[in-house]
Amino acid sequence: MKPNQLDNLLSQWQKEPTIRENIDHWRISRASMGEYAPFPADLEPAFVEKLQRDGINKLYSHQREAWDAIKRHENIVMVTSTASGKTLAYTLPVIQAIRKDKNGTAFFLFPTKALGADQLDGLQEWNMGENIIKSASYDGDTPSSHRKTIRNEANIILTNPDMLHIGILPHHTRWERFLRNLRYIVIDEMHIYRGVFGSHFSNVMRRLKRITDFYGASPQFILTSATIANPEEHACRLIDKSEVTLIDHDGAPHGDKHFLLYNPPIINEDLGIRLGASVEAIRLVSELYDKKVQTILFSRTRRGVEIILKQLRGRKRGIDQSFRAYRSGYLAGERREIEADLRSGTTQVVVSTSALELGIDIGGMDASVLVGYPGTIAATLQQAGRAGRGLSSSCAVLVASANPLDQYLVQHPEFIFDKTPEKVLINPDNLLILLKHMRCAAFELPFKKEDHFGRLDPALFAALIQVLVDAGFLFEGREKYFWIEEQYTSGQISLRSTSESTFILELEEEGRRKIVGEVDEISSYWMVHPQAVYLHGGDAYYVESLDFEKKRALLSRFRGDYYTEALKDVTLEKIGEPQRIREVQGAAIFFGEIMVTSQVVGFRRISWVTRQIMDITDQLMPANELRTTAYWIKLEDSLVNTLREEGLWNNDANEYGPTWNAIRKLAKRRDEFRCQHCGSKEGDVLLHIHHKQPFRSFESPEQANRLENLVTLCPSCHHEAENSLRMRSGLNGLRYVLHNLAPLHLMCDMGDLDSDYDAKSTIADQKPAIVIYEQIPGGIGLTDALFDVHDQIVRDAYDLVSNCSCKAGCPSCVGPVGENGTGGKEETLALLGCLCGLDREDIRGIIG
Amino acid sequence: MESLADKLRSLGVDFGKKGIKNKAEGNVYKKEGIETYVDGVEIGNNFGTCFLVTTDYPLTESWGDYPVYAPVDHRKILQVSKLDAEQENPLAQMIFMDTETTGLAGGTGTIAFMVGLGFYTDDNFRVYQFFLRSPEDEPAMLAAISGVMEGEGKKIVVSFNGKSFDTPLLNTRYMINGIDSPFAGCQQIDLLHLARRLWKKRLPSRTLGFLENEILGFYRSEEEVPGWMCPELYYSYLREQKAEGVSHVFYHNAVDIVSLGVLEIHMAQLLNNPLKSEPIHKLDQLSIGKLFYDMGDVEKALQLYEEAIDKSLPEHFYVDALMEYAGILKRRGDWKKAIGLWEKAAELDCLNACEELAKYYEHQEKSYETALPWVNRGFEILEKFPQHHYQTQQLNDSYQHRLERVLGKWRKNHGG
Repeated sequence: MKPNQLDNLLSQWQKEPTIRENIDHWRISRASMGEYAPFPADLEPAFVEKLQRDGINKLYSHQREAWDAIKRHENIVMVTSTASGKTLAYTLPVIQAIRKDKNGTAFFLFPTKALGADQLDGLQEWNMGENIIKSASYDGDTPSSHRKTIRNEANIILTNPDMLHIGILPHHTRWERFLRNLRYIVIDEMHIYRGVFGSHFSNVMRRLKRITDFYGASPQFILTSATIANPEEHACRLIDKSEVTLIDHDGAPHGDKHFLLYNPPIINEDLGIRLGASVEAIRLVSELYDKKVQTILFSRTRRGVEIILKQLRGRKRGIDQSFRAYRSGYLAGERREIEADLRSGTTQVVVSTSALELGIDIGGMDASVLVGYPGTIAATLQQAGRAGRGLSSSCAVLVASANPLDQYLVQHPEFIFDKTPEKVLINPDNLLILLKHMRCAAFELPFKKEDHFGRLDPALFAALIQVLVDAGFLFEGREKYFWIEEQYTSGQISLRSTSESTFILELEEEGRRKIVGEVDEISSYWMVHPQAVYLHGGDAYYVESLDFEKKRALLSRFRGDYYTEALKDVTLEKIGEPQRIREVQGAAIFFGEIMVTSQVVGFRRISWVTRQIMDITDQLMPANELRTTAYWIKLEDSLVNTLREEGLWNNDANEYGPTWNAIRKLAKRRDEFRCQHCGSKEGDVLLHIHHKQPFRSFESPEQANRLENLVTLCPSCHHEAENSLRMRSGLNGLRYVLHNLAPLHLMCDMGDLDSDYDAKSTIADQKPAIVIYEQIPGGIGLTDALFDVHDQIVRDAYDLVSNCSCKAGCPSCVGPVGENGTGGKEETLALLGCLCGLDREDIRGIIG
Repeated sequence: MESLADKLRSLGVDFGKKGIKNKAEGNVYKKEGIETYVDGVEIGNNFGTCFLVTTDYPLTESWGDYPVYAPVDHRKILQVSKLDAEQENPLAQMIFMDTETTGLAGGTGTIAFMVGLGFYTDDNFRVYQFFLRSPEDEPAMLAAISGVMEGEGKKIVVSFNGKSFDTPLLNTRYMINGIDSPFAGCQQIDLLHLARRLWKKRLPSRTLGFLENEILGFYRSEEEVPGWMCPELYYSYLREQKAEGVSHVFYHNAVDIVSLGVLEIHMAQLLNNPLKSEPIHKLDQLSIGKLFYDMGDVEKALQLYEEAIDKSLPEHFYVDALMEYAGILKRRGDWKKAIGLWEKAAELDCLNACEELAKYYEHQEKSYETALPWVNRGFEILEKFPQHHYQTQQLNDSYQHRLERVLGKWRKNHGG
């Protein structure tokens, strides 16, 4: 392959020290001519002609594999790269079938409407003048006047799970013709259906199966997915089948693919602060631009897109259309414009939010730059996969941000390149979710006495039916159970939450109100409490007020430079005995059900730039209870003693300020010259004054030395308190790093989990413990999976912290400095070391 | 050992106000049956059994101000409903239907727990009411309904909003139960749609209950329960086996159906003789005028407008009527008369009238000096009565446009 501009630039980067030294990893996947297979012998001649006219003379190997598997009546899941012709792979068998039997029908399910819209044009092209294959979108935007015709005549319907759930299944008699002839169900991007959404989705599939059974149809499933660790398992759970054929050998050709992991250099050694990811990304993109390499830039937030765009345009003055933003909500016409501009070369760089890694069909680019880790490895690969056309070289760069996960990944590229540990987890049998769908199912078709619900355990099914009867939701006849609720069920159930009550988020702008989203009631207390900064879809909003009665939060646009974090008072309680227990090094790990009672008591503001805490405000929200599953680590006494004895901390005297002596006296007088813990009197022992919240965690001595923060203690009690503090900071660091690394193994967002730590934990017999629990009632399988990967995740955490170049702690490893103790990095590292089985000698050596 | 119900509750499942009771005892057949309150029988067929109440209303009995039956020509009412006006013996084919359902949302989980069918025989107006003592009675009921429709040769369904609601719902029920629907080939007369066209101007409401009072002069007894309560009463019956509440639904449903019959006859009469109906309501006549025009009976329409337009009408209706009438005349080319009407409307500050006059003088007579004052009058009115912000702007623009055009043409004509 002749070297092109990109190749030249890459060699330059190899040589340029200020770039080269920041590249932590450079992986090259060498060009491949592709693997092919001939057209199937029975492929319709008309289709063969069309393909040949489009310049296609044979299929990729995986497209042929798909065709053959579908012919054998198997359900398949395809995991191949972006732009590998997955659409053709599932379209061909479907249109072939319809050509042979014009009554045949198929559902094409997409997670969003935009994706569907793009596909429609492509499908139309197969008609080539005749009108045999009728395709249409059917979703919330479809005008009512068209709906009847579509139902009565369409062969292929493009829709989304929400429409299926609310609009189609509860009215299935209107769809009789379509459902009776249903041959295929295509589920695109199945990895999107994870967590709560995925659990709902699989139940919608169970309902669909009941209905297709009723009409005598048995459709085949065709799923596509991004790279995940468990494609077969996930596909089976989603469609509720026991087996599925995996097609993951990618036969599409490609040029040399360069993938760079770029870590911006450190600019503040003490605090471990690095140069911003956007700054470095802009630099790289500018160089790509100069070499006329068409590039797409992915930012995690819409704000980020705006800022980057502005900067790029600023740098290359006067050439506005060279840089364009790609926003969600773009209409087909606008997309065509961008495509055209890219083809003509008018547009060189497209800046987009991560949310759009799906669905944009702007063709291939030569380079893709990711500003910060998008949150999952699957997304990383999809975004990187945007780069590459035909057999030309391409380049993807992941520019790491300060997040612990970003930092971790640049040191562990194998997770991205060799084998992703990311599993997609759902729990179709989560009781809360299951129950809702059983109610919907009963509305659709009464349950018979010997009925079942997909592969749900029959005993559980029967028990749930009984509960529904007792609660008055179902009427029990002699042979059947009938739905008898007051309100139309599906309409009240959102596929994206488990909550029974939701709060609407309204934006007030230019005198008008617009709904920007919704959150369930429980989450509202910590996500949209008054004065909170709420991030959604890449935008930032400020919460002006929260109305409990009207269930509404009023927001305004926010352009400040901080975000907020709610402070919660949390108490945990075990429910019954833990379901799983295992002894590990220096500790015991557990998985089981807990009750989390939490109350937001205040919030703090944190600077975007420095990630430092600006201030803390008190604010009380209603308390609430969450029953869920959790994974927790209880530290054994032996481990705790080892650490204690090692005296890992330096006893630096704090500089307490000029008024310290006077304040000490005041405090002692208030406390009547007695140790507030054991009662010893001044005189018997020399009393100390202890800061409840450590001195260093405050902005000023005045704040730290307020009387409320001081307590009189005798030396031994003081020592104990300080020890506890040390223990606690190590514990907190452990909690922080494990919580941050969890998404690496489970494809979830950090927000799906919450964590807690306590030196005297109520769920660990008053021993020190850290707990990670799920935010969804009943859990979705995340913490169960964490229990399984304990050894690995502890090891990963150890690696991350020990390799972090900060001195005493930073947001990239154990948490920002200044939180409860002096960073806590050493203490955390020691703790992790013990958990990994290192002995005292090794620990000393590491800390040393 | 915590129960599943307790676990669900602590997970946050909302069981509603009722909460969970202890296991319901048996099914409705055992406890207090509907027979305790209502005089009916169990009927059976291949599909099972259900409950049936039959009531006969003598044809001469009074129903408010009218008898249950009066002979009438149905051709006009068929025509308005876009059906074949000349078909044989329409009344014999008509079935008057009303259902009581478990909800209004539709969908496959909503059922009709009561279906009432009424029709005229030689001696009576007979009402059959089928009732589901349990949802399992449904197939039997559906089969029985088919039996009545086919047995009595009913091909025209007369209902109140049935075309959009009751019939589709029953069709769904037939489909779910795998039985052919007898409504498939039927014609539909929806009295709600007709009521709107007749009485939208004059009456504040067109619900069946209101029309019963206002038009028929019929008032219900205390046995009546409002329609919105019926689903609730049925659910109580199913859940708690208490039949007293739901027994009232029979009265409600039966009265609905007889009223349908009487109303249909009354409406047919009105359409046959709009100029001589007693009492005479000019607003109704205007409505019927419009209706006739839409049906293509222009002569009759004109007669009605001529007769009914009167300064004594409420101004807003008067102006509307003038404009409608003028519109018809304009389309027939009867400009002179139309102009007279427009001028009257313009006096009453009708913007459209000014526009029509301006248009007429500009395009038909090409008399720009005469057109101009009407354009200006339009501006005057706009100033006097500003509409919504954007509407005023639009109207203003359109008038401005017209003004410029008229002036332009005038100047051209005068070599300007």
